[in-house]
Amino acid sequence: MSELVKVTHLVKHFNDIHAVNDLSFTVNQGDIYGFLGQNGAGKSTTIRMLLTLITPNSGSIEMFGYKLPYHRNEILRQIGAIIERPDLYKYLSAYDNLEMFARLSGIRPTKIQLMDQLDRVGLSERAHSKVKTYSQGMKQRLGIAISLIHDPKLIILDEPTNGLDPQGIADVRKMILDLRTEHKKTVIVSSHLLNEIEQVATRMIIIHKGKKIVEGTTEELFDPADTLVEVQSHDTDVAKKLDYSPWIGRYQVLDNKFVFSLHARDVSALARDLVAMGISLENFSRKHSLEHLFLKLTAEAALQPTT
Amino acid sequence: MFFTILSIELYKIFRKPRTYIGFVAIAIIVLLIQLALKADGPTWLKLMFSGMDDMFAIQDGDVLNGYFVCFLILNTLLIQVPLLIALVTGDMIAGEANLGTLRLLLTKPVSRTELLLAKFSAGLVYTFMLLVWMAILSLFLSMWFFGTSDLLVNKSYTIIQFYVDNQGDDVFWRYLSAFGLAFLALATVAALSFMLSVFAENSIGPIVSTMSIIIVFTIISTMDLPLFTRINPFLFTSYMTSWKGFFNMATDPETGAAIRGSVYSASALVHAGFVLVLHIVGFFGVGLYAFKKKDILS
Repeated sequence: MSELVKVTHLVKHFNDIHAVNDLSFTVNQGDIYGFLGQNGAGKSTTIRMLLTLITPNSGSIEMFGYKLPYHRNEILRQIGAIIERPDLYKYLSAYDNLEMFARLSGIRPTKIQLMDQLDRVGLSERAHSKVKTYSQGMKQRLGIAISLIHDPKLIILDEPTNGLDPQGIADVRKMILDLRTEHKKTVIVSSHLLNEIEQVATRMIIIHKGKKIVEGTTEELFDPADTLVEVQSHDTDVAKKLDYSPWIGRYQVLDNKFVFSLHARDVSALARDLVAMGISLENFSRKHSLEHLFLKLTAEAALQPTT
Repeated sequence: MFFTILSIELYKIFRKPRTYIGFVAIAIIVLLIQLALKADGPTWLKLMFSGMDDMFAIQDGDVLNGYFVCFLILNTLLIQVPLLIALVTGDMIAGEANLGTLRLLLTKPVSRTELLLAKFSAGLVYTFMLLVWMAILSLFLSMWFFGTSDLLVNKSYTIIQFYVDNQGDDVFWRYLSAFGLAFLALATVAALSFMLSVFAENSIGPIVSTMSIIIVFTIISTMDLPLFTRINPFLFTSYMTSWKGFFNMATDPETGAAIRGSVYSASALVHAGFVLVLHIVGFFGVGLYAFKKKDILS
């Protein structure tokens, strides 16, 4: 796969604070690239540097074969972005906002094209209502419509689920997956909701204090021998039944949930055994393994001496 | 792309309710003054020109004509209009930073120079339209309401008379020129508040700062102290009322008679225009430099 984004030795500091410190990574065409890090890790600063909102102190950014800042407009023409929350002109309608940003992106869509785009995000019925009357979820959908109107190759979403209700979060997740599978787009998505990233990302990077801790595909990052499975049951004698099974000593009880630590290849055997033991399963799912990995890596990084 | 951004910026300006505050405020003030003068003007004029009734060749009552009313209104209004200008131009960058729309704008394939130039041009169009609105109400409406005749202007305790007689109208062109120079003065205010807007994250700061600078500079410009006199030529506020120079006629050195169609010091008017243009370029240049270097963190 060809490299769409190549970031090399990127550095940005605000006075004495090193927001991004010698960061390098690549995003390939077709990736859903998860950008992970704690608050203040440097995710938003990096994304803003990709979008030319912040000027790096050193390092280079190459996108679509062009270098920043020399080919800024050629690069930005191929990007659609939502940074944190989609702040729009509240005193204008969704239709006006969409048309305005389409024109700024260098295209002149017809009325039908604009209405189609609004229809795709479920806003066509409220197309001419002022944005100030919209809910946060509607604004987010309008932001998505704006970021896609010029058919960009790369979509950058910085915390796209901020302020959304569970349905809104599920909608965004589905949209990200659709962008890759149906529209063949490349997506960079940052989020503090690790399970959201886990469900959509094909590759990811974890950064801590502006530095890369790890980067790779989902398969590369997760140790199959370190798989966690969460089990919930209404049965009261689950622990007793497990004491007489090969799974004794391989689980912990946390908040009335049984969390098993096992190799990925044993997951189906566990499910089979639990059913064979007559345990009625209310829930059987892999626990947020990304959260596990994230906490482990950031804890390790915190122990490293800072340079 | 420049004209695309300019049309978008103008659309945004004229969809904002705050834009119309200026137009409404000017309309209210002008109409109130016109109504008051229509009702009590002759009495007020008699008081103003008491003892000078027989010095002029114009008919009694004609002193209160459209040109005179316009001069009166401009004298009063051009001091307050900077606030109305700053209300819009001070909001152009800072307001967008506060709304969060600035970062979305700057992720579009538009250069920062082009964006700032288009935004400032839109601010100038607004300033021009506000001035045209003022001209329509204070000059044309007054001309229709009160008629036209000679214009009497009180300058440094001297009454100057401008003629509208069988040799033609010597006043109207002066107004058009005065509005032109007034536009440069107001454009300087627009450039100042626009520049301050680049440095701020909400529009209150640039609006208040612009008015504070104007107040401080105006005090310096009007106080006749040696230190202030030395810096006065460099302050744009010293040229805010230079438009009045178009109502100062040159006199024949031999006869002492006023020369029709002349101004006392054309070079002073050109100088004023030049200094104001220099300020506009300077303010915009500083704003552009800062904007191009600015990290968008809002």
